Amino acid sequence: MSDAENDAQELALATTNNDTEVAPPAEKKVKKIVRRKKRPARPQVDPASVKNELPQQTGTIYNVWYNKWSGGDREDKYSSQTKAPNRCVISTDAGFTRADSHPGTPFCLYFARGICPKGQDCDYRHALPGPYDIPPQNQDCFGRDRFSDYRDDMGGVGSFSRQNRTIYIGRINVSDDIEEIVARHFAEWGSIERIRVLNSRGVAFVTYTHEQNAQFAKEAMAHQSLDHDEILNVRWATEDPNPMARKREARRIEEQAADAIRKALPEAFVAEIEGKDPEARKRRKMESSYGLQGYQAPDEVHFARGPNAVNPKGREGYELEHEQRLMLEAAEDAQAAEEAQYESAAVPEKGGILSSSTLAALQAAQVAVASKPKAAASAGPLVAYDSDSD
Amino acid sequence: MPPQIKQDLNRSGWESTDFPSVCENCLPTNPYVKMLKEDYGAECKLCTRPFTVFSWSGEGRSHGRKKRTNICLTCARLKNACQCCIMDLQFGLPIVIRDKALELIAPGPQSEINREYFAQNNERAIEEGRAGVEEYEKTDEKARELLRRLAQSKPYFRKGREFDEEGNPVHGSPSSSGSALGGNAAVGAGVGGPGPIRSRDSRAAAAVGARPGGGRKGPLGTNAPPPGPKDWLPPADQTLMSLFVTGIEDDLPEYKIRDHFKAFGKIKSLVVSHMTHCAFVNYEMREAAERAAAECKGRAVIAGCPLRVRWSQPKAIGTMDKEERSRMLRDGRSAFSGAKRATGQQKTIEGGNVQAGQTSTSSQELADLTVAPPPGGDDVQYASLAGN
Repeated sequence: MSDAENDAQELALATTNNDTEVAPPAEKKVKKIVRRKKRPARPQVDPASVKNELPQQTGTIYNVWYNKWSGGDREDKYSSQTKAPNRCVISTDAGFTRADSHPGTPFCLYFARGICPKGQDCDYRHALPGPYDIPPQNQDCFGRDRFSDYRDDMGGVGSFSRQNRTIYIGRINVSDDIEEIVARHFAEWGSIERIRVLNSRGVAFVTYTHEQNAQFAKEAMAHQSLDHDEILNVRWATEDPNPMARKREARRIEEQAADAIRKALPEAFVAEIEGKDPEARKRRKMESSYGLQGYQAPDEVHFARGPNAVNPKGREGYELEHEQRLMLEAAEDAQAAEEAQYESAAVPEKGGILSSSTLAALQAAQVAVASKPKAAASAGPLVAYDSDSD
Repeated sequence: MPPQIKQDLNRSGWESTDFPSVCENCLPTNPYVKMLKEDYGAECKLCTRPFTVFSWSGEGRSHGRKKRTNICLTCARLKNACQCCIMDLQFGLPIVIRDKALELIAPGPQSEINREYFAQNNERAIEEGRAGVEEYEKTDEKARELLRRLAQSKPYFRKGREFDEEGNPVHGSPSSSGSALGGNAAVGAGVGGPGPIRSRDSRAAAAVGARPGGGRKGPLGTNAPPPGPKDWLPPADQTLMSLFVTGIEDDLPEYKIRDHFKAFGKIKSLVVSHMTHCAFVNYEMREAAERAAAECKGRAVIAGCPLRVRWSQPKAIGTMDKEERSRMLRDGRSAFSGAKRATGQQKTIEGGNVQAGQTSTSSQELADLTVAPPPGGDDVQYASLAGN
């Protein structure tokens, strides 16, 4: 808040100093009021202690792209027995950095590992990912590229071909209160959906509510130790073969999809589909009868084009009146398209007379025509087609 | 244009294009985008064949970072996705979710060489106008189907009929049988907020496909007494700061339990075992634990899930046999079976205009019953799950 006031004062000063200039628009001032985090991010390790030197030669070939030695690795990074030098503590370390003025910036990988020496000068965010910090599909929350496959050892950045919110934790010291220890340590990295601990094996599976939290936790807890002296082995979890877990996961994915679909569609239409609007059914019956007694067009026809099409493309141009569309029929190709539509409605996907490729081509032509602006109609209404499926 | 190398059989799958297919979100707002084009600049992340890479600097949001195309145009067409962010072009969904939820197309082969072959075949098919398009014509239909299916969905695991907050069974009237018999879907997904409380009931369980009387009235049946003062009065041992919660259903996420119990004070740790249907709430301070126990009065309702709360010494909860696990689930309901009886009793008594002390206290308890707060704005509200 004080920042905002300062900004306002500076602005005022600037305007008084050079009167010739036009005062900046008021909206700019509004834009300046950014909700800031209270605290600057703390450097997690002493910057003086950080040495910037080439990595120790572990292989025979230096890969300039990845800044790594390759070939003849003596130590696998993921099963290494060296403990992480530091650990991130969200409550003390998090704060604003340079990146906070740029929404959508990824989180700092070194912050998650607890070894970022830059503090508030870091170009990445120093905070715990929230529910709305959804990284792009091809990257993880640290801005690293994801790939279509997991590594064979399930380490690393992860895959974009599966939404994985579960991490595997191995080599936990087996004790009586192992469940409590795991729950306490992993609750630091975001809201948890469920935890499954195999008590006697020293293995746990932690499922977070959001994928980005799982990504953060995986980096934050790698090679760390819990209450005892141990070095955790943290990886992505493979798919849970338990039938109940599968059902749960399938349901979640369906809900996610349905949510996105609902956002993309008009509200009244969704209510009709879900059968929540009792009048909608009657209206549907009237509209889709196309003037024929006792006929109700199937969903494919009713929802294909028009103001209530599921596909946004189908709604295109339907802000205009239904009648105006008929003017287009003066054009030759439009008529062809119209016929194609009739054909496709009459032969729904069975591909009876026409081959599927012909149908596809016709439909493509129809879409191309339909997306043209309707105002281009030159001739008057010629054909008294009542509707497409007449 | 790069030299055509289609003649070279080994490079026949290499793709060179003149224009990327990218969604609106990936492009900057300025329509004049300067793009760098590199032929065969990288391998496609899906089919591993070389393709033409376009890169441009996304403004503002990306903070000077470059954006680039990640998958080849053939794959993008085949998946109906953006080449840069790999999201579905129609609904903006990640393609994994779209493909699984809408069941449009099979994900394709997994091994590298098969993928390449698959993509090659599809490329040819797209060129000839045979494939790649037709599946997505059905997207609309599938989307409608999904919405409908979810609107009248049943919970993914077997559960009984619901009880409303007073503990009265909600009868599935024939008119609303669709949702009532299957159990309220809101409860099913754990997103319904307070709302009806579930309970095991043989009739309702039979309605959702359970065997009648499946081990419900066994020797370990619901003969646990309803919660009494001994459940919530603070024990003498001052080091005890843990509450034991039973009756946790499979779909009740840990963070909802945490949200409910952190209202009474700072939680040191929350151990939830969905497999054994029970949890431990370990508070940092004794006062917080005492407050929680006193407020809960031995029972709580979180997202429609009836829970029983009592003091207990922390112990390992992941190691229970099957019998014990089902007992834990029934134990949570036992907290409300007593309440149901009490209200039923009270109704009859009110008819006779008599006030018995015992019933009035139990109804008082019900009034004090702490119910999880309604889900806030951040909670996703699925319209289909809101009942009816």
